[in-house]
Amino acid sequence: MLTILLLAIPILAAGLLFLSGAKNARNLALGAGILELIVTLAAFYVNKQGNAESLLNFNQEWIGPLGISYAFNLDGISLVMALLVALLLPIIIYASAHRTYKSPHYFYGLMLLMAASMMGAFTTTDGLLFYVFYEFALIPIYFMILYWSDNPNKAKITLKFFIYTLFGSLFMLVSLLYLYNISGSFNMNALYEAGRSLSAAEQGWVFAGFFIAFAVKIPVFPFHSWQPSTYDAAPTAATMLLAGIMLKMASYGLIRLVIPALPAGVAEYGTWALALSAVSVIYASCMAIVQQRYKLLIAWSSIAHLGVLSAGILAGNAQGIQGGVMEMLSHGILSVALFFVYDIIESRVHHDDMHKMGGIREVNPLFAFLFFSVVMGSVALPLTSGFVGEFLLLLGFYQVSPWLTAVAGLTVVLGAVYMLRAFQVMMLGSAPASMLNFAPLNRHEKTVLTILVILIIALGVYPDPILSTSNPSVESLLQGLNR
Amino acid sequence: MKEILIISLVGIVVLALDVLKMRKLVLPISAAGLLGLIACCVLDWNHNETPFAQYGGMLTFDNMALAFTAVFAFIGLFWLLLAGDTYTANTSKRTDIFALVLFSMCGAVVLSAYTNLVMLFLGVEILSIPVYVLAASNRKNVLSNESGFKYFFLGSLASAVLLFGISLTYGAVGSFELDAIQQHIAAGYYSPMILIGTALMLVGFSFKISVAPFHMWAPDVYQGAPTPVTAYMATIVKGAAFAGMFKLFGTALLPLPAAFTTALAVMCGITLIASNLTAVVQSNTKRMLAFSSISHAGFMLGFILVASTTSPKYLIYYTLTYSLASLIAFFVIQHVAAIQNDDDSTDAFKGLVKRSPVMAISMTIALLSMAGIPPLSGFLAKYYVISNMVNHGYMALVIIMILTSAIGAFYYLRVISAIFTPIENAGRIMISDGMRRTFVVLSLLIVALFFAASLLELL
Repeated sequence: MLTILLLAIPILAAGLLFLSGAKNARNLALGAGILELIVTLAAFYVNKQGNAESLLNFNQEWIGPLGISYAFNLDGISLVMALLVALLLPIIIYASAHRTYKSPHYFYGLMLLMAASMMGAFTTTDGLLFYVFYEFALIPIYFMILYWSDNPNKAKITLKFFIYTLFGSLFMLVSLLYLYNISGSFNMNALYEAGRSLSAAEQGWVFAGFFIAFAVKIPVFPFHSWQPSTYDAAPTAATMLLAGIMLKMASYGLIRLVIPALPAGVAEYGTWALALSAVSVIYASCMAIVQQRYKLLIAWSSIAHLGVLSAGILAGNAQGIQGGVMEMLSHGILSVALFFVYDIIESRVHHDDMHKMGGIREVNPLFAFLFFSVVMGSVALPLTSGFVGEFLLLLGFYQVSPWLTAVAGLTVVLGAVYMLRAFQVMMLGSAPASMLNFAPLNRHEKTVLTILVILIIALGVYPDPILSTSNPSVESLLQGLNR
Repeated sequence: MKEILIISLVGIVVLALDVLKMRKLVLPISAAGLLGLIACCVLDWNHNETPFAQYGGMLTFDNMALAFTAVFAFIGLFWLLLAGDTYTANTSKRTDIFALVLFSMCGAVVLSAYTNLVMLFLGVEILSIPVYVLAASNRKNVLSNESGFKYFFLGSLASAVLLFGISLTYGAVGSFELDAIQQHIAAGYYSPMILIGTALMLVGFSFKISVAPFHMWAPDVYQGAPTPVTAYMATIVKGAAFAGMFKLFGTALLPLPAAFTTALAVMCGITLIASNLTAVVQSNTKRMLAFSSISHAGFMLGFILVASTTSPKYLIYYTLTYSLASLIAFFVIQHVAAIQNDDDSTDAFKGLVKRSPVMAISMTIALLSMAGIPPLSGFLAKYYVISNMVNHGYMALVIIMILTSAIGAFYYLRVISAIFTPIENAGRIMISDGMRRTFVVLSLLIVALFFAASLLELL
């Protein structure tokens, strides 16, 4: 029941927004987001109590004879992912309070539709339905960028983004069909069984299909080239959705489909994927170091962090996957925070060229402090959420390949280089004349940034609620895989 | 039998209404006729009626024939509603065009129900001949005349080739009956005469459904013909030809020699590649949709490839969803072009979202459905094809289908991104309320068919 509510709330709210018109669109969307969060927390509570499993399950035939059903289940991993969506959605909506979008009811409606499709992808236990949600999330974000972006090249950029990701996910469809052809059902457990029954060579091909799909969206080098330009062109709320939640569908797909279904494929050909992920980390970090513009720097740093994420997950052990779950949540929160900082700066100085800034700390110490806390989370300082995730990921990765881990581990060092440099250039030093009238944070900016910082620190100090929720599900996913 | 009677009578009545100067009644009566046709299909369900069985039958209205007929009637109904605005009620143009379309649909019914090669040929001819006239119906337009001529010459050549194939098969088997041909082939072997006959029939059909390398006529004919006629050609004419082909290659000619399955697979592959690559460079939306239509024929050819083991219901689903999307796309082009000096280039769509939100959203849904994006029915249609291909081990075709789907998304999205690109001082495009409602219903159907796909399993 709760699972269906999680889907129904944003869809109904989106419908209401489309029909009702522009008045109070943001408040309505915010209300729906908060309702979503409450339902998710209720699901957490039910999961902890452990006696009302039926509340977290839903199963209804869709195309019965073909073995396709509307099947949803909130297990530990899905719960954390649902929390990611439900937590960030109201924050993102609230964060865009001072922005006035044209036709806001369509903008927020699309945002809610996207939340619904991501929620669906994170909670479904039907392979085809996963594909449907995964693919559908493209549509709202495509229109959000196409219609609400100010970038003069937006048509080209969105086209590249759409084709690139569609192209990737079609390979996932083939892989899914290949497994389905053996299992006769899209139920994930049936797909796992079908995958494990394949020979190592076949598993390798199926793995390649899945990996291309997910590597495009995570994104992993060399499939990343759509990402920086798309992040740059998108309106900030859309960038937050993209970086914070949407791209996590791909890493979630690795956990949910690839690791349990294709153990031999991962073992045999995973090394290539691990190597690509490691390259991704180094390459993206270097790119981040040379960026002049803050938004692009964050875009590249995102690729670097997600490279560690995909490497840790593909290691395929409990630490790696636990780290993956934690890092997805943490990176989601951090991305939203970093892009919100961009939004605050951009709304005041109307550019994000870091070298034209400086000395903001003198003018606005509170902002500098909050930003610094976010930066610390981003460079994975202990006692921030970033540390827990990346530490577990690297720990998992280390058991598979110490050498590549050493390479990927550079992310922490290089991350410190570009993030601290960015902070230094933008915030420290003496303020140039153009920065002197940098307006203080208004109430809602303070609220959003404070909430995000509290989350970053709280999850770093006490990650247990998240880890203990996902742990049983991770264990059961790995059951029967001899590792 | 009732099905054929109804559709031909409605055609004749429409002509009579013109003579009686009661043109206002044309649309209600023909729409009611098509609804009656759908009702008949429902009532005859499971009857397997073979009219005039003592004279040899030649037609059998089994469930698949009824399903195809009902789908054609359904699409035809929407076609009439949409074309109503183009062919206004007070001219004889409306009666002429509507009657021709209804007569042509009679051929579609025959093609769904034939059990005899003579009926197959008659069906193809009844289907095509009115369309030759329709394509040239914009008499003062050179392109329309060219389109009609081209379609007539190449179409009649294709019919001749088809007829030659039928006669060779008859020569070898001694019967036109599909059952007899099937028994003959099952008992013995493919004699050279049947082989050549089958090859010629394949070529004839390939012309009609416009798959490579016999697709060259389609872009010119589609672009030149009046847009409502193009919409009719891309939906019912193509669907009916596929229905006929499915029956022939799925029952009568089994087991197909390996050479033919290879040929079909190769044709399917080159159709997909050629059409999609050419569509990318088109700046004219109508011509782009013509190539897209060829590409969809390539996908549907996948069903013919596995016709012996697959139920036609998936082909029916593909025909229905593709037709609904096509109707929207072509009629939106018609309205957009009509208001700006027949300019149907991609640029003409700029700012459509402000100029006519209903058409903009419907067009977007239609194009996304053609591109195969969930949760639109076009996705499931493509899914059924690809699923069948994986099932039968045509992995190379699967890869081609996937690559070309991504290419397809490229040219569909180009139109969508034009639609959502704002322009300065654009006037609104006014369309009638009825038209607006029809567009909305069609769009909703495209979405609803995705969720209601389990109904298909009832067939």
